[in-house]
Amino acid sequence: MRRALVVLMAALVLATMCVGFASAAKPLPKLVLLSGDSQIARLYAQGIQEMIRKNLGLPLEIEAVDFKTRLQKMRNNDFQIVFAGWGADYDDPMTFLDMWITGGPFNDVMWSNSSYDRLIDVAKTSPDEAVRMKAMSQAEKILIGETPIAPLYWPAWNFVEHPYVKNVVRKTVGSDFEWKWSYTEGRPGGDKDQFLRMNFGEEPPDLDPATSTDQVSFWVINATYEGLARKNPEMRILPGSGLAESWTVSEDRKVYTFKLRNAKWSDGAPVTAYDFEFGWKRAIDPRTASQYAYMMYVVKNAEKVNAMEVPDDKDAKKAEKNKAIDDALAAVGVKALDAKTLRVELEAPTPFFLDLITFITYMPSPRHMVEKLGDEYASEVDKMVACGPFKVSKWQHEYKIVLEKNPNYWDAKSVKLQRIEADMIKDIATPLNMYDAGELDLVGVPGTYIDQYRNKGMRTIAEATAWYLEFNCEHEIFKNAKIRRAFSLAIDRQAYVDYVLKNGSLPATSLVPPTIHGKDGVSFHDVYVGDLLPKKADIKLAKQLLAEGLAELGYAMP
Amino acid sequence: MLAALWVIVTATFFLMHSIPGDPFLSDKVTEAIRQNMLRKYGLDKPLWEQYVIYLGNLLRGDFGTSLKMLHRSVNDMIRDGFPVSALLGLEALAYAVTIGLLLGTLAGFRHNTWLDYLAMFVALIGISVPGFIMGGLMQYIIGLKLGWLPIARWEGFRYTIMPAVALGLGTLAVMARMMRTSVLEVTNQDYIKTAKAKGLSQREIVFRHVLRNAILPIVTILGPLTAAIVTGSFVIELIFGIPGLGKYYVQSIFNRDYTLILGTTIFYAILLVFLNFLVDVAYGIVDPRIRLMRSRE
Amino acid sequence: MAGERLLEVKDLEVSFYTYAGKVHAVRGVSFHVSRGETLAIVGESGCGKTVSVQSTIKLIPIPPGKIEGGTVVFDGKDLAAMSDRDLQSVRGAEIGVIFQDPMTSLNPTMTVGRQITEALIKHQKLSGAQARRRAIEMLSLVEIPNPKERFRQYPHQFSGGMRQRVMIAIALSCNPKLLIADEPTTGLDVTIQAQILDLMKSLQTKLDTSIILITHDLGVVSKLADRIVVMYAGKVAEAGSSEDIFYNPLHPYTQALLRSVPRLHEETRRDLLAIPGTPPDLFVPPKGCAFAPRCSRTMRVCLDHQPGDFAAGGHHTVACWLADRRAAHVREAHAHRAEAEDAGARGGAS
Repeated sequence: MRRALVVLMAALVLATMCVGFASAAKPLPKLVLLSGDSQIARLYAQGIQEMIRKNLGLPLEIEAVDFKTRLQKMRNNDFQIVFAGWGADYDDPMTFLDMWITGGPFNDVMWSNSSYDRLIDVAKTSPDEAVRMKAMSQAEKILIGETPIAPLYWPAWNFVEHPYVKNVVRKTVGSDFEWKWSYTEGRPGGDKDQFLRMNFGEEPPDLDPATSTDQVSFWVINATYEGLARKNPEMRILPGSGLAESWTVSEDRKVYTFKLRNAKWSDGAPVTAYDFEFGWKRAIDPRTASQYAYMMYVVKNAEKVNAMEVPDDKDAKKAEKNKAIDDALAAVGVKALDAKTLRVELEAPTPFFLDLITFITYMPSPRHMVEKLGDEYASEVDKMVACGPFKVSKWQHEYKIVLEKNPNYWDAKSVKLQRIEADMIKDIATPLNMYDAGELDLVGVPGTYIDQYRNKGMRTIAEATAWYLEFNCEHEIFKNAKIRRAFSLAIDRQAYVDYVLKNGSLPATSLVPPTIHGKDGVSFHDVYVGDLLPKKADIKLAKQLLAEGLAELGYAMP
Repeated sequence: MLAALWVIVTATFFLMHSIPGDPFLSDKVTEAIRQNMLRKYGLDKPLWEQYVIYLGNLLRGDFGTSLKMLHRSVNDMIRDGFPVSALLGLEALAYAVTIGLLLGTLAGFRHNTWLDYLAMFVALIGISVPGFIMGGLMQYIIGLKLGWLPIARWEGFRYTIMPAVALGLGTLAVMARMMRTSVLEVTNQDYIKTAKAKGLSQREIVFRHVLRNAILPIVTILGPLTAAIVTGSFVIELIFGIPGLGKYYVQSIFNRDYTLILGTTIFYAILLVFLNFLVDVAYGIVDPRIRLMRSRE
Repeated sequence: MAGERLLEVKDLEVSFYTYAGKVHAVRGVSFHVSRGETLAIVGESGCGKTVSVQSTIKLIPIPPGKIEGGTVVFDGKDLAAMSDRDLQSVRGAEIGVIFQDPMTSLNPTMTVGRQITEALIKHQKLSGAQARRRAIEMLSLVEIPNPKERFRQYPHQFSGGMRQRVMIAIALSCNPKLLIADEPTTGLDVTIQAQILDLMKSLQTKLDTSIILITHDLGVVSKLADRIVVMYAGKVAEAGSSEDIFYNPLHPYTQALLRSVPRLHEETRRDLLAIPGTPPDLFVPPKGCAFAPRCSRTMRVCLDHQPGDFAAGGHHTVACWLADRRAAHVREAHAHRAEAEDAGARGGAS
């Protein structure tokens, strides 16, 4: 009898152990944060690592790789968490929001939410601004709630300029600098000679508006070309501000008809609607392989044509395929009705279209020159023309570029500067020294030097950019929204901005930065969204969510 | 020589394609557009095919277009950048070699005097302080605070002074030390005594007998030294805003600019081979023992 | 002309200041060379023969060397008082030097011809072509075949013996009155040695040059020397004509030296006689006679007092207390003993 009891006890104990083992949680795998390998990037990553460790008790490893490697890994889905950022292409919340639709070309996080997709679709096509605002703010709420990305901060840009520099407009969206209305007053040495000396930091890789993509090139193109409209110093887009005297919009808001003014290229040839049609179609043509072609996708049929197959040189069906592309281009929604009239048909009503027409890719291309020079257009000073306030007068590659006032500009009387001289010095300390010595009129102040220049009239401008952590939503751990949310809430954004960044950036309480405007020109974030995330960490909630999430997946808490 | 170059081209080609990333990868390019760009520049072909095409172009002297600066050919970039780097490098080399050899010779002849110690102290500074620190210091003190020389850029002779000094300091130090040792060694040789016994003046002995022999070991290292300096110190050109070749070496890898990587690497290799050849010839001129050995071959 | 003293060195003192201290290398040396004669200075390594002679034209490194005292009169000029600059017109032009190691004594990067014409152009103000001709003459004078071709060649293309001939050519190119030959054959093969010595002898006759021959090899001395000076530990031990020294050596050191030279023609099988002991440390020179510790006939006075130069007939001098009148009885005792030893040694061997 006693023996039976012992056996029963043993069996019971054994059974309990087995049950215990069966329901035991898996150990957590290694968690890795992917970041850039510069000193600053590592520093920023360490800030996050420390917060996660302190507030969640989780060890987070940092994998620092160089720029291209990081991008490649993101494209290959080969990451868990990665540091990423996005700058606005145009002044509408959509530039930040349509990235995250299911299967979107920039959606590295592999997140999919059908409600989100629907709301974005509404916001893309509805002609009613109020409806759009509502849809987009709701979409953002879903995005922040599900946290495929955890917004961290909205960066600021710091700079100093000598007091005699006036009216250098800094735009937050698109190209930063606008020199059309700039001038100097009180320059030691006199103001008779109106000029600016700046440092661009590097050689502009591409001054052809149809293919250009980088910031420095954008500064130059914005100064040397004129689009259908130009943003005024208050960032507003008014008819008559650019080469379009006026425009009309159809009822369904899909067709814009622009009436162009009389204008000339710097070589005297007239700027016509044909130049606009030519330029836009160049960007759309898949044979040009323009990186920013996607900015043109709002135009009818543009995306379709851009995705067409381009024949190889050795392709037997080369002539056929080329003809197919040419035919398709003819059906794209941009047409010059005559020299002064440009008709644009969009895929759908696009409320921010007027913002888009100020973008670099929408500039006209001088047909008479591009047809002659082909790929060589804009490679040298003598291979380009200008229709904007300035023209490139001297270009020493990798060294210096000089812009001079364009006498053929239609609004030349508003342009006060005679020239702009720009160096291409990449070092960060040297331009500061040059500024102090009076050799530069204005200069950007990098984070590490802010303390030195704070009292020297330094100004801070918020950029239309957001930096965030991206989570790989297919990863075994980060596929769980609660865990992602936990990470997001464990970060003390205010502290991060104050102690790690120290450069005037703002903690991001949502994705779309406050510098992006919504209906009636108000700040989209301030008026329509509000703070979706706390500025300080919510450790209690974070820990709770973490525990729940891990339990759901069957992982053990560390 | 050609075999070495071929090995370098091949190794570089395959190595650079083995690291992740490509020139068109960017945070604002869609996958479809990127593929289209790769196709346009022939980067979607199988690797060996790209290699063969590249070799074909190379034999025609065509390095191709840069994959970052799409409107500039690599030939042009090297052609524009090299003279600048070369000028800076040769200037640095010129003063480094002359002052270095002078210091070394003085130190050797005034062995164990204050001149010797001073010269060696200068050499120590030159070897220990990296060029960019010296450059940055000079920019701040001489350029900004004193205003004697321009801080950066490349507009005229005055602009070349500080970067050349910063660039050449290390070489100056090496030259001084080597020359000093060489001079000390040669001065103790018997044939110097013979020269003295002939009744030659100190100056005649120094120039015709001591220096001629002391310079031999220096000549050997001048080849690789020149190549390194002349292809541009990346950091010096960076902080002084000089449009030379230096930055291409690092930038091209960062940008995965394959054509520029290959172009700059091959250029450097050719330069090195050429300079070493020059050194061989120079050595034959300076040291008759080598010259005659060779002719006997 | 013969008999007139060309070079007269009196009480020369030379020291070297080193990290280890002051080395008294030459402690009061006097000798002279007359026109047309060959003086040999012999002694073991370190006895100060090279320093003495090279100091006359300040060829030693100064510093660390220093001429502490004495006079050097050459052809009526006080060389010791002359600056280095002024000495340059004496060196090469009036006094030529050849050194011990022909392999390292020539500049490897300069043609042999140039190394000869250098001196000619400097001292005789010849033009390039004249100097060239003269140099080629010199090359054939020193019996180098194909002198025209050899003129353009470099030292490493010559053998050791040939290089020494070149050295001689250089040294004699300006027709100097005095030739200093510092161990000229030490680094050469025995067969070549003989050739070089013959060459020197014939040149001396042709050019009427006086020679100072520094060597430790007594065989070399016997061929060339008219007079011999024997040095030991920085001082002159004995000086005289060749006959004096070879046939009537008076200084115990000289005698021991001569005894230690193996003689090929004798059938006796004697042990090689080495001189026991080692030369003294010249950092702290001895109070008395430097050879005393090693001498077999030391007297008490030898240890305490330095002997002066005692005349021994003709131009024969010896720096030894045994030569003093007062030591006559000691000399006799030694003479008897030496005879007995010789007899015994010879007897024992047969």
